[in-house]
Amino acid sequence: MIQLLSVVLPTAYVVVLVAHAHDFLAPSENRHTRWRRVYLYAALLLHAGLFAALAYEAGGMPHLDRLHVVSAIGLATGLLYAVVGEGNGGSRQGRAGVGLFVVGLVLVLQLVASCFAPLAAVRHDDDALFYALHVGLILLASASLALSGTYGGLYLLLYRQMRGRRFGPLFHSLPSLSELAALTRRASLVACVLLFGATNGGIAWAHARDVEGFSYTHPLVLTVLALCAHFLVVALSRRLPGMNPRRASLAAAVGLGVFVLSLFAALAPGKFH
Amino acid sequence: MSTSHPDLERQFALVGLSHWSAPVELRERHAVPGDQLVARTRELVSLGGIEEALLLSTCNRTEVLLVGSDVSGALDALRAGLFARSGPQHVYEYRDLHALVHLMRVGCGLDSLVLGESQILAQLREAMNASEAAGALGERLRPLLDQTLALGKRVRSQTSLGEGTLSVARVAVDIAARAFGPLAAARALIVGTGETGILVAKHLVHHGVQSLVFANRTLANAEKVVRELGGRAVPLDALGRELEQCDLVAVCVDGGRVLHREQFERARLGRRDAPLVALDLSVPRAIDPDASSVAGLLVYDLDDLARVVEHNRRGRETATRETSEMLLAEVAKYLARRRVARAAPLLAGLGERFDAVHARVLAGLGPNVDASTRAALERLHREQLDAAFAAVKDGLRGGTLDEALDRAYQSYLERR
Repeated sequence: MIQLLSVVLPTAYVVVLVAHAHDFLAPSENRHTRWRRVYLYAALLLHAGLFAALAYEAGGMPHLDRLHVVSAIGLATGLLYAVVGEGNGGSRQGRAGVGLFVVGLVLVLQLVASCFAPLAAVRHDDDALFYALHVGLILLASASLALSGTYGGLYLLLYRQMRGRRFGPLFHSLPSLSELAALTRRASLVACVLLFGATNGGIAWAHARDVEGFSYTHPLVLTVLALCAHFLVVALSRRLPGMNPRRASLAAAVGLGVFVLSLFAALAPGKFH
Repeated sequence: MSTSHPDLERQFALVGLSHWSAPVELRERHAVPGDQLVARTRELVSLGGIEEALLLSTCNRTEVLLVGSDVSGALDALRAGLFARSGPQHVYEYRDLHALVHLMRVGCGLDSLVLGESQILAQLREAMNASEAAGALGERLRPLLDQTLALGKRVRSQTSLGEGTLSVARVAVDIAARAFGPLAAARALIVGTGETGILVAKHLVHHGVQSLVFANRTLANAEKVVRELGGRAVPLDALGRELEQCDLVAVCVDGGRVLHREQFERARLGRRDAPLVALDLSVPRAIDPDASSVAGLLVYDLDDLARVVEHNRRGRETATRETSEMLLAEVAKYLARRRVARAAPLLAGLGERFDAVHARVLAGLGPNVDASTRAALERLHREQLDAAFAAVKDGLRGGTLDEALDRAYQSYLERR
């Protein structure tokens, strides 16, 4: 089942992606307008099914491999977008356009996970509830960072289009620069709060288990806190001197890249998880 | 060419005037106030040969749709009565298929002053209610209006009709909206208070722009515009200072450069590189082309705006074509419904024959037929009857989008 879902999931996300692309490029409402959300929810359901299968295989809360974590971040990003983000983006084409990029990101994450993640999982031996809370917060924070980085990237893309006086589909259909900037700030703020909560939760959990070295001065904790501060700057960019929407968007997009790198570092074997 | 259609059975006629045919002073003389709609519609059905009627009166049109066995007398009466105060060149008349097509075009917004505007649907609904209250709505007009309203809603949700403007001034404002979203928080600076400048300013006011500053060589002219549209007037030499305070600058002047790269550079420092949209609607260009390299500055000239206008024009053509196809399909559907309604006596006769055959077969079997056989025969009878009705109705509904309809639509368009 895990193997089957690993193969089916990228295909399902490709279908969602094509539906979004079609709706984005179509001049008027079409059948994809009605179905693209259904396709997205169906793909997310399949994705959740993959983790259910992993849990079944492990006989409880599974110990997540780092590539499973990548897949889980994809799922959380897709879920957060479907539940909260899909309503933003202005027009039909604007929403489809934003969705196109978010689903594209989820597809890439899942494709990597499907290609390299192990097809089995073992049971996590720690306090499942605490672990689920910690991991859940981290995943939601990661999803917010992914959305923030995507919105920031879209801002830069549209800004380049406008600077270059290119009046293509992106110019006509994406949300306005100010809307994208606002979405970037909002997603960053949510990410920042969740990341801070998840990090402290993780430290408390480590202290409870008397694991040596887990504190605010731990290099990896400092990395996450630095990322947290970075996105706080993005979130508060309207009030900070020297910041403007373009710089904030650039920071969000770069922050996403840094986050992915730090994620791999943090999830290296023998570390936190 | 003849626009009558056998499925219509009755004659349909639409007579009226609109912004296409009559000037505003004539239209306002023919407008019927909302509280008189019912009474005026009642008068229409009292005309000889008229069975159903609809009176649609908006600021841009006054139209009467009549359905009856003979509408000629009623049309003469309307030309001599309701439309007596306008010349024949201002009043148009459509018969049968053309009348149907025209009504649906009105409902879709294809005939509106602002293409695709949706207010007409509410006005049509009001006219329909008045017609209902006047007892002028029957089996022909009611489904036609229901279909027209449904089509109007579908067109607005499924096509991009009415989206994208062909006015350069509005395109300029739309481009600014791509940067700022709703313009309620944007501060605009208009340089030049000529016709174009005022037009851009009016669009900005319509979008609820936060503040408006007019800069002009002759301050008195700017102050005059301020009295009309609000905002503030400044002389041209205050441009540099004002540039730092605004999000959007529209330059609509004659006679050379008024904004240089250095002015934008200075303004940039005060704005922390936040986007500034500069719209140059002047010929020759009034904004230094080198200014486009200044960070955060988004400069557009008339050539850029023309490209957007062209894109919108193409979009409109596509939407209009899609709407026309939907409209024709809807007319065909209406004709098919009428065809089925027209076949009602035939279907009733068919039912009677089936019943007679059924009764004869039962009688032939004698009184000793058990209950289960009788029930099975009853079921067989009902199912055969249903199948026969369905087959006849399907046959009547099929092949509705005929060439005649297409030709009628083309001839309608040629008449306009």
